[in-house]
Amino acid sequence: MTRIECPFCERRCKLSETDYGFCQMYAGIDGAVVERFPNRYSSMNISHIEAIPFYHFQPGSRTFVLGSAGCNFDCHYCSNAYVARSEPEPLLFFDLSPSRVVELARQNGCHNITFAVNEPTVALPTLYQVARAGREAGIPVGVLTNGYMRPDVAVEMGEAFAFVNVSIKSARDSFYRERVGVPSASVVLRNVETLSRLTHLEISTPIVQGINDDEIPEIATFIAATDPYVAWHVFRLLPEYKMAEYERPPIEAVNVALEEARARLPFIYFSNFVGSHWVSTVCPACHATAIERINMGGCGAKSLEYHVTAGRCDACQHPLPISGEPVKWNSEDARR
Amino acid sequence: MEFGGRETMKIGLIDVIDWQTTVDFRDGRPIELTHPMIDLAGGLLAAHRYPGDLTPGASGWVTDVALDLARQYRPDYMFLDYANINLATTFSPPGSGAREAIIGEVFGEIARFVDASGFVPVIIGLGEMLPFMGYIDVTGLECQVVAGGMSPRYAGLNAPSRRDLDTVSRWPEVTRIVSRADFRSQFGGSEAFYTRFPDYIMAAADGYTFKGVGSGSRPQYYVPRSDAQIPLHTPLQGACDIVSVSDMVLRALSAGQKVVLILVEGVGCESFPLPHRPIDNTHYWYHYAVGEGQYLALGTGRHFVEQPYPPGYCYYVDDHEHKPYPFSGIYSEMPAYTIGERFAGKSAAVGSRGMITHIAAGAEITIECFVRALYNHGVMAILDV
Repeated sequence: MTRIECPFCERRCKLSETDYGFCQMYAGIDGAVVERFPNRYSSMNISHIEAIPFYHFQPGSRTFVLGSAGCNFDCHYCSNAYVARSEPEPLLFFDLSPSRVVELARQNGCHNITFAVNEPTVALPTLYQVARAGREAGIPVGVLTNGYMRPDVAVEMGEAFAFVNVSIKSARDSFYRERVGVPSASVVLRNVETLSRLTHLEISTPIVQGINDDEIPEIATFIAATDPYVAWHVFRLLPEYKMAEYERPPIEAVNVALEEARARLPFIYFSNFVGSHWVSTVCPACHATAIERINMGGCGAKSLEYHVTAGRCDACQHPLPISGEPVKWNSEDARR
Repeated sequence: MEFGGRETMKIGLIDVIDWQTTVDFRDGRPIELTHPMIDLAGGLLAAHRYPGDLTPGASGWVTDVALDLARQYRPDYMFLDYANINLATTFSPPGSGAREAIIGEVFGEIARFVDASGFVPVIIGLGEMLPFMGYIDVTGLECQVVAGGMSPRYAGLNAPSRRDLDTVSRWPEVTRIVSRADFRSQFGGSEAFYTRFPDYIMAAADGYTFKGVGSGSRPQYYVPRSDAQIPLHTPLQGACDIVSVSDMVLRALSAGQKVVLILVEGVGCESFPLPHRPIDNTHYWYHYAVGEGQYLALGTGRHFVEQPYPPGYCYYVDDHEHKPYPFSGIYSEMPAYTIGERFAGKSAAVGSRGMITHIAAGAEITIECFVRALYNHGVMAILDV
């Protein structure tokens, strides 16, 4: 049987009619790689874009959140293993054309669409079509990714998606080798640099107690060299799956390390715990609160107040790296 | 019967393990405040880490916290809820033995509280579970359909076409389709309820749930059954239905008794292991199933149509920038007529049903797990100070 290399992910799995690769989402048929489950999804939800999290893209907007199944990583602490590491087909309940996805988003008053529950690299042909349909309808489409795609795919994603959040789980190969199941961090770091040139980029990092909690300065150095004004979301990881017994990182200790990094990176956020004090955007020039948020559980937040206009701080006019004006939650709701 | 009227501020005290913060519960913003109630709750939260909804010990957590709270705060009225039979049953495959084991565990924990505290128990099972039969896919309809939540049994239809109504009328798993006007003429209720009511609601047959935008994605094996009657175990007399329990509790409190109202999810008349009498769990054709509507009917003595949030309601529209009570889900105000509000004495609540506990109890101090979609974030206390 002829096997063909997967063109999407750096695992470069060899695919055939019966070999579906690590993610279980592609097959090699007649010399081509095809999606096994095109246009199929496991969930659709409505959320604040800050909850994904994206803090600097259309703040306050209502996003239509899509998820499917499968992942090209096997993070031992995964919070979504029930979709990422399970047999995909039983989970993929919804069968929706790209135009129907956009229609549902619009019908529910959403300003944008985000693919955020599992890894988008495992469903790229479908998501490129959703991005195209969204663009035609004036609805930006973005993704949350682990960044482990091939270099040409990173370029394609940067061109297709209006906003991307890449998870830099570590700057070290050993972490990716031992906790994720891929050989190197360099692929992710390379793709972050690519994506930062092509689209609105934000970065996330889960802090795993005793595993990568000492890496904050190292990751901060990489981000500062790539784009010091990027939004960096640092999560206090609640380990699940194979690491469910691990402790949560101590908040004060992590924040001490982040405070040092804030001297170089003014837009560091610290969340994934209810009531976090570090989810608002503070102007680096005048230290006024430009966007006030609260965390209600989860990685992101919800915006309460905006003091930013045309990408500038209302108090001092310092430019802020915000893409798009703040959006009222109900501004597109047909029922209002 | 006593009717209290307190001038207080609500404070949220959040404990995410090894870190606590205090928020103004109405706007969600951090607040710095010292108060003996905050000290009391802070110590309790730090001492009792919630193990997680599907982890053994979750029901023991309710009892441990409740006993400590009873000792330290000395309330006359307590509201407890145990959600874990429902959750363990929903997410455990049939035949795993999980359901049988946890029913024994939960009722053992309830007995531990009642025996140690000396409160007069009012214990209510909120209904049976039955095997999950299947989803009803609503994404093919042309209109906006709202079917949010873990196991939505009701879905709201907004501006349905004639074709949509014809389609759903042919679905064998849909038992009822009712317009807003027809619903109102039969049930009556508050203006706020009908302001939010969708153009139509439809009901799923027992065992089925709707699946659309906002529906849960975790595989489930059981769903709540909509029972006509639910079991009540208590030495008190006078409650024959879901909305007469709160008056029965208030009468006992007025007579000087210390009373604990205990709601147990996931058990109905067939699996309730204590002697009981059945009480009515319906309002016209509507059968309550476990959820906010049922908790509030028990906690306030008012049927769901007197609350502002109907089934199939477009829940996310209210979640705007300035929504009050951001930690209270869809609720923009604390419900009136709760026992905690009406009783002038000291009240306290503990629950493993996050968020609904403080909504339904209306107690001066509520301690509840902070779990969303099974993710265990920690514990929260809601305090009147």
